[in-house]
Amino acid sequence: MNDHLVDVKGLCIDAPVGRLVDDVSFHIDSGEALGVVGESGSGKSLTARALIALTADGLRVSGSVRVAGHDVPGLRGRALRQFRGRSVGMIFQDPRAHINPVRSIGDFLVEPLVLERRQRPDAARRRVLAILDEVGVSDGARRLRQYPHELSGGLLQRVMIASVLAAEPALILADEPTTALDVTSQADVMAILTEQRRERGLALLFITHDLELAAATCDRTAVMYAGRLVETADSTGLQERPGHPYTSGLMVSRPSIDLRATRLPVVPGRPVAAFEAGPGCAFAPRCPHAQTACERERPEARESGGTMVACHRAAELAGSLPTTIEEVSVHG
Amino acid sequence: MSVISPPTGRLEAGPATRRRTPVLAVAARTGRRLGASGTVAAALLAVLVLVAAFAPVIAPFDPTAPDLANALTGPGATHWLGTDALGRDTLSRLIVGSRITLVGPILVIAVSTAAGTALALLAAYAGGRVDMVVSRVLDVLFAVPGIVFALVTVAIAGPGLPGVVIGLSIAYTPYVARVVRSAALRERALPYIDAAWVTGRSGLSICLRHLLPNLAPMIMAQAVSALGLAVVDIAAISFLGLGVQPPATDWGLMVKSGIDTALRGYPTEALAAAVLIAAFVAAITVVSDRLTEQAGELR
Amino acid sequence: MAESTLERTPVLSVRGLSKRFPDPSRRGAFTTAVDGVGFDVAAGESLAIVGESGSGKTTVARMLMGLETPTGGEITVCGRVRDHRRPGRGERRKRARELQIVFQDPYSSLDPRRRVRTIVHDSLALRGVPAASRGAVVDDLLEAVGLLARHGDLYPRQLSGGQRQRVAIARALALDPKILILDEAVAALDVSVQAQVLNLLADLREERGLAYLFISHDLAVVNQISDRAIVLRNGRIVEEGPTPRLLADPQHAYTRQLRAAVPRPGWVPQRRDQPVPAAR
Repeated sequence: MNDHLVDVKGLCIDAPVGRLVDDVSFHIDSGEALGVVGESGSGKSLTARALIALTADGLRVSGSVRVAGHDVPGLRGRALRQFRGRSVGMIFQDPRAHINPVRSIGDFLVEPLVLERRQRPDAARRRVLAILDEVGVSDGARRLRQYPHELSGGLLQRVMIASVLAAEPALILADEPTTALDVTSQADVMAILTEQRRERGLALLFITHDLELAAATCDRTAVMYAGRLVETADSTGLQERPGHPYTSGLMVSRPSIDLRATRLPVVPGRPVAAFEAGPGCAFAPRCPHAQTACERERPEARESGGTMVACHRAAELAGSLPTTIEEVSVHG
Repeated sequence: MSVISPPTGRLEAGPATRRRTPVLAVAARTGRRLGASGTVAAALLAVLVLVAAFAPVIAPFDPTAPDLANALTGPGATHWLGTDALGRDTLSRLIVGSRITLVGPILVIAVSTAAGTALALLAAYAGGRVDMVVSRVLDVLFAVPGIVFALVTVAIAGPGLPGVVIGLSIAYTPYVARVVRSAALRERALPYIDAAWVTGRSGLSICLRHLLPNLAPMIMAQAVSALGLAVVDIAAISFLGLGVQPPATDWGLMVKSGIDTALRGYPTEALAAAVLIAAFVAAITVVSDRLTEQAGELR
Repeated sequence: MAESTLERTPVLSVRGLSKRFPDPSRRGAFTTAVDGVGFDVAAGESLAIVGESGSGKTTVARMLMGLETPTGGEITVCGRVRDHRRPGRGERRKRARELQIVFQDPYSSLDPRRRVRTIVHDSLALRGVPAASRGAVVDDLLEAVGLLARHGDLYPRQLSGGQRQRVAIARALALDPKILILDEAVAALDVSVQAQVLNLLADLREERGLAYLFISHDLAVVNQISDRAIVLRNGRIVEEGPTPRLLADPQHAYTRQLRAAVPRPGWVPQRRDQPVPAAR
């Protein structure tokens, strides 16, 4: 058994209303990118936050979370701060909410290097300028004097990425980093993130609602539904041969830029939270392939050849689940 | 940023709360909302209101009847809190005085909240020049301390509660208006107001049916907290002798008359009145804090 | 499909529409949000306005609704030329029956203190539907947008995002408009729910002969719902044409850039600027 950079086993997160994340296990190796895809209530953001012990008070986290050799739930005080500052960098959906609006971009980027890494101010500044250049922020010296409100969302997100890169973490957590951006900025930011990550050999946990974006930018993709992991596979395999009906449903119900369907194939109903799910498969009420067993018994996660699928009928359905609108129309 | 993003509160099924008698259910719900300290404070306020309502029945003696033979007795079996310089029963005077102590501030708050809210809604809804004019007028009113207003109206209307209430109502209006206006501006910017506007609702109707109900919790919380200030202000004016005129009384006036007797060694009247004012204001503050939290949590 | 005779008469016609806002950072200066935009929407047609943030697409929608005052140009709705002055109640009621809008955010576009039934009911009252028949019409409308009668008794906060957006559609339909503006109306919804709402919109258009002005940044969604599309950039139209043609064979560089940025199987994100080789 090799040592993974991130190793999560049986992660459960409970709120007073009920369970939000239910028995989630996955791992990320050094330099590897894992995309976690899910709709609202799937628990994907909470899972990411659990990796740096950033879950809100009042939530109970159980299970084992190991990141870069640290037992995360056991970290306290100074050790936790050092772990967050050095081992993991986090990029959020709304960079504006995570950069102090009354401090300049220069303060935001240079200060941590000086205060925490004990670098000399001029050396830190040079380093920051070099990183800004690499993430495509032109005219870095002027940007350092500017304030967050003077920068566009796309530019600010690059500043956020620069701040994470400057800290030289082993793992980047990116929680919907491009959801608030325009499509062209999204492509830019994802291209930069992917390129820098590869160059520096950093691991990435990429949280998104967009399966195609995750598959295009990550080595492996995991799909979450109702607080559970329903499928994990390498990204190409997942897109070509989805193993779980929900994964397939996500793929076919998304409109395509190349094809126009008379009617979009829909997954009926709405996404639910873990505590709203019944005793069986959480997706069963919305699943076109559900049988009685699906409603009664919770499907176990079955692994084969690097892919994991939690579905009672995975073996029967393998290879037959549609991936595009077209196929659905053909199948009726 | 939402740390927890479960689809909470999406009731697919109808509410399945247990049926209880309505009064108990309301009391239980209110209790849950107010918390322990809030419930104690609310109970205290309720007792005060009841005492004020039934004051003539509860008061053991005639609060205005002098009994010079029993002047300044100090606390005892007959007169629990003693008598004042004219031999009037202090407890009875406190009980009856609670009426004006309560009614004065409530009137001030009711008038200023109504006026301030109306101005705020007008300014926020109409915007542009109307907003500018209203805001400037409010700024001017702000420059004058509330007590000064009351002194001016008392000078015009003569000493007594009406002058004080009118003066303080004017003085409080800009405070209400400013707070409500900024909240109303935020609310006005939400798409549901635009949606109401494009469906053809009149401005008045948008203000009364959409803005007002959504601002109501915040206005209520603001009014209750201002009530505490009004109690103190009216007490201060009465203490100056410009408010309630003897033989009628309120707690502020009793602190004043009580100070004279305190100097002669009988502090009960002043102390009792002062403690009641403090307790009243503290209870109001606690309740208003809880209401403010509630108003904030509503969304 | 609407009859060909109907397609000839535009229900909405826009010419040279412009909007300048005073620039808050420089006194006396203006920024141009919309610059000479013109288009027609035929009865029953679905026209998409595609653009990124700052393209002016939402400002166009707000001007059509009378929520912003144009600084130039002409808007003709159902044969009536719009007066650019801020409309009074009577004029708004008249316009409400021509043009309605569904906003992006299903959370803030419904009054949190009004029940679903009341929200739809309000629209009917404003349209002048007799009080006696309103209840039945509310039920019909809820059914038409795929909600159950019991949803009528709930408050918006008790509904999911998709359900709320259905309520917003019902509120707009209650006024029986000819044109529905959908301003990023499915952008905030989960993928599986988005497909449901897109299908609902397609059904409603067919049943009621509604025309759509579909404002979106999402080319895939635009492909699914529109007949024609306009690409807006910095307040100007850079390209327009039938949606399938526009997406299959984009002529303008910006349209190509937009198209290239849409994630799809086999897609790899590309930087628009090639990074300057880092000095090492």
